[in-house]
Order: sequence, then structure tokens, then C-alpha cells
Amino acid sequence: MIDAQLESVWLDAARRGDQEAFGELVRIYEKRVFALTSRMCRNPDDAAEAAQDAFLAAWQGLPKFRGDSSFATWLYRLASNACVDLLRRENRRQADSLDEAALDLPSTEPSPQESAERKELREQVEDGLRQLPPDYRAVLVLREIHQLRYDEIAQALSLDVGTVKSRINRGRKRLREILLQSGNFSAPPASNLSETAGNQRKEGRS
Amino acid sequence: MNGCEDFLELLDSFLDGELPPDQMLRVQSHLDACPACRDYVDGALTLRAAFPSVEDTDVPEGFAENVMERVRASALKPAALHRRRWMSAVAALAACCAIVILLRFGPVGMSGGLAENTARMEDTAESAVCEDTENVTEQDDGEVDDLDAPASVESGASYNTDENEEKNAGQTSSQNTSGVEPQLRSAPAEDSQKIQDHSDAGIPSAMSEPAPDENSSEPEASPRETAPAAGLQETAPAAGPEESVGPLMAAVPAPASASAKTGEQVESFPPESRDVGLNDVDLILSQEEAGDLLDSFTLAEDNGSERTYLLTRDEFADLLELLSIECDVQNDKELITVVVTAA
Repeated sequence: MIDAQLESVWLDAARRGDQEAFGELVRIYEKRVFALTSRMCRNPDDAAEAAQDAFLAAWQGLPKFRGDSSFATWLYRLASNACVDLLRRENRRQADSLDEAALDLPSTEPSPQESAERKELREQVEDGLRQLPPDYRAVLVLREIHQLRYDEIAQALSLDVGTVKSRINRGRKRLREILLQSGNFSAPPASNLSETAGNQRKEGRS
Repeated sequence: MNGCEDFLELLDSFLDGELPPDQMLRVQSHLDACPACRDYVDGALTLRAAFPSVEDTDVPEGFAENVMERVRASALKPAALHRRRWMSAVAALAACCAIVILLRFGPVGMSGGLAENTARMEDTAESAVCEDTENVTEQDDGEVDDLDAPASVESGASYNTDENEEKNAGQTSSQNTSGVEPQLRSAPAEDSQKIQDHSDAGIPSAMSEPAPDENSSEPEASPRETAPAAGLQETAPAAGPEESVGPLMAAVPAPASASAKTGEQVESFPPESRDVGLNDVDLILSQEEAGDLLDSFTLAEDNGSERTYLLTRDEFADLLELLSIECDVQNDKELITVVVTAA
């Protein structure tokens, strides 16, 4: 477990230019940053590059970081920006346009064969996340994987809390639809009406 | 789903622990009675349980080392010389204007025709002012006073031309405007120009915070740059440099000296070029200029009097385009720092 006091000591030192202290922060946060970038980027190479970019940006931005938000939240912001920036750079090279649609990840819907197999729900969720629009994916990742509060998510993504709430809501619905459509997700056994309710929601979705 | 409308909005907050206790209870009671809402909540909880966890994340081998290599590489970059050149050129203009005002109204003590001398004074005094200003803000009078070398203006001037290429804000001697004049009257106009070039190099330190990690060449530059300036000092009348420095300091835009102390703010220069040259800030805008253009960007800090935004290179390019301004940044900078002052 990370000792919060030790971490803040390193943070202070890193802010004053201590590279070794910053190296400690990198080791502490690399998994978390990767958890984020690997879900926001197309492939593992991009995820690694964006994660590196995020840490480098953190190093360069440290003197300006005053701790108004938590270091983690700030770092997640840099990471999500790095992902977006990477996507933009790549899209520019390919299409020379900043069409928002280009920022969506290519669909990786499971093949019929894969669908037929009983995938572990965890894999299904990973696949489903990849199919989500980036806006929804970002908030869900920060909420479910990083356990950030709404206001922290808002800070990390430069949104207001209302937008965070609505994206979480839509993200959950969309993710659920994706999983239901792939046929692998069965609603929790507790509810008899799950499937019907799910279909109703699909048809009547706003 | 009638009757659920009130609760639909609350379900996510319920799931995420964002509701106050009394509302949590209300929602819980509703869930007991409403299969549809319960289904939503249960489904979300199932997904939550299946969400990948941070601990399971695979980080490539040597990732931390790669990051630190880049960190070390970025720390070794020399000072952003090109930025300081821009800074100095524009700062020279600003100081020049200040000098003109001063000469019109300040203590001059010239013996010759005022008209004839004023023009020349503007060129040469500018260097004096900037050297003065630097000197005061750098607070290093001691070094200058020790130099007795009677370097002539001419040799000093030509030396300065070479120095100009190396640039970097050096420590220069204090100088009295009236002291400059007599010596330079004999100097060809050409030298005045060279001295002005030297002052270009000299100004940046007055206008920006000395950045310890960038200006490794600064200590080396300063002793050499003081030598020619000392030659100017030789002829300075006893009536102290302090006197001229006072009003000169007042004439130089206040934020410049403030920036030397705090490194936080720099005067806005003509909008065409905005290279700031401070340690971390790439661009400074007033609230009026920024408007709401930066609202969608990442706000890193808000201390009440200024807001600091971090932009990706692409965001920054877009912003510059919208504002029709130019600003160069280091090539390897991942994030661009933009400060919006409250004014």
C-alpha cells in the first residue's frame, strides 16, 4: 500500500526539481496511469506512449501544480489529454482533419465465433469499454477503475459535475446494451424481468 | 416506469455514493418496490464487479526507466535562447519608450544642445537604463563597482556585437544617463547601434525571472559583459547611479521588476509575438483576450488573480490561430502552459 505521507514528501521534492523523487512517483502511479491510457488508446503501443507523455507533462508541469486538486486527479487529467492528443496526431497524419468521429476507437465487436464462446465477464467488459464513445469511456474508467468522485472526475476531465453525471448514466446504459447485444451478458439473476426490461430500454432509449 | 422519473436521476448517484444518507434510504426503498430501477442498479453493480482493476494492469517492462530518461533529457535542455531573443527585442522597445519619456522630463544634465543629444541619448541611454534596471533587479552592484577596466566604448561596442550572439541576460554595470552622453558623443553612430544591440541582450534579465536551471551560461556571460559597460561607467559623474536608477525603474513597466522577483507575471507585449521566456509559462493572456476560449482546456491552477491552463500542442496551435498571435515553444514540450490574468 502506498504511504500517503511518503508520497507527499516525494511530491514536494519532485516539485523542487528532484528527479529521483519524481521517479518514485512514476513507480507509484504507473499502473493507474496505464489503467487509464490502455482503455483510452487504440493499442498497447499508444497506451505506453500516452502514459509516457503524461508523466513527462507532469514533470514539466510540476512547478505549476499547487495541490488544489489531488496529484492523482491532476495526473489522470494529463493522461487523458495525452491520449486525446495522440489520437489527434495520428488522425491528422491519416486524414488531416479533426473530425470528432475519427476520435472514436475502431469497433472491435467480437466475431460470431467469439460471441458464441462464453467469455469471462471481465473480458466482455473490457471489449465493451473499447466500443464505447471516448467521452463515456473516460468517465466510466475514472469512476469504476479509479474510484474517483464526481467532482474529481469533473476536475480531471475539465467538465462540470452535471456533464459527468449524464455521461456516467449514458455510459452505463450504452455499455450494458453493448454487452447485451453481444449476447454474453446476462442480467443479474435476482431480477426476473431483466431481459424484458433490457429490451424495453433498448427500444425506448432516448 | 411511471413514478420512477424522480428516481431515475438519482440511481447513478446512488450507485456512486454521491447521495446524502436520507436520499440513499429513499432510493433504496424505491428499489425494493421497482423492478425496473432495481434492474438498472443491479446491472450496474454487476458491471462494476467485472470492471478491470488497477492492480491487474500490465505495465511494460522498463516503463519507469524510459520515463526517467525523457525527464533527464528534458532537464538538460539549454535555455530557450530563441525565446529570449524575441523577448529582448520587444523589451528593448518598451524600455526605449520609457527612456524617451524620462529624457523629456527627467534629470538629464546635458551640456550640449538638447535636441542634438536627445536622439543619441535615446539609443545609448536605453542600454544604460537596461543595464541599470538589470543591475538593480539582480542586486549585484558589487560586481560592477569593482571593475576599473577603462574599456573604450568602441572596443566595448564591437565586443558587444559578439556578445549579442551569445546573448543571455548578463550582469551589467549601472550607468547614469548623463554619464553616457559625453563619452558617446565622440563615438560613431554605429557604436550606438552596437550598444543598443548589447542592451537587447541585457534586457531580458530585467524582464524575466532568472531561471536557475536554464541559464547555465549566465554566470559566464556576466563578467564579460560587465567589462565594456564598466568603460561607460568610468565617465559617470559622481552624482550617483542611484538617482537615475530611481526614475528609470519607475519608468520601466512595473510588472517587469515584479517578474524578476516573483517570476509569475510578465508585461504583455505587442500582440504579434508572445514569446514569454519564463521558466514555465509559454503564453500570458488577459481575461479580455482569452474570453472563454480556454474554458474547454485543462485548468491546472486558479489562485484568484490568474488561472493556469495546460494545453496540448494541438490545442495551443488552435488557440494561437484564433487569437492571431505567434508564440514559439520548445519542440519537446508536451504541454503548453497558458496563464490568464484576472485583469
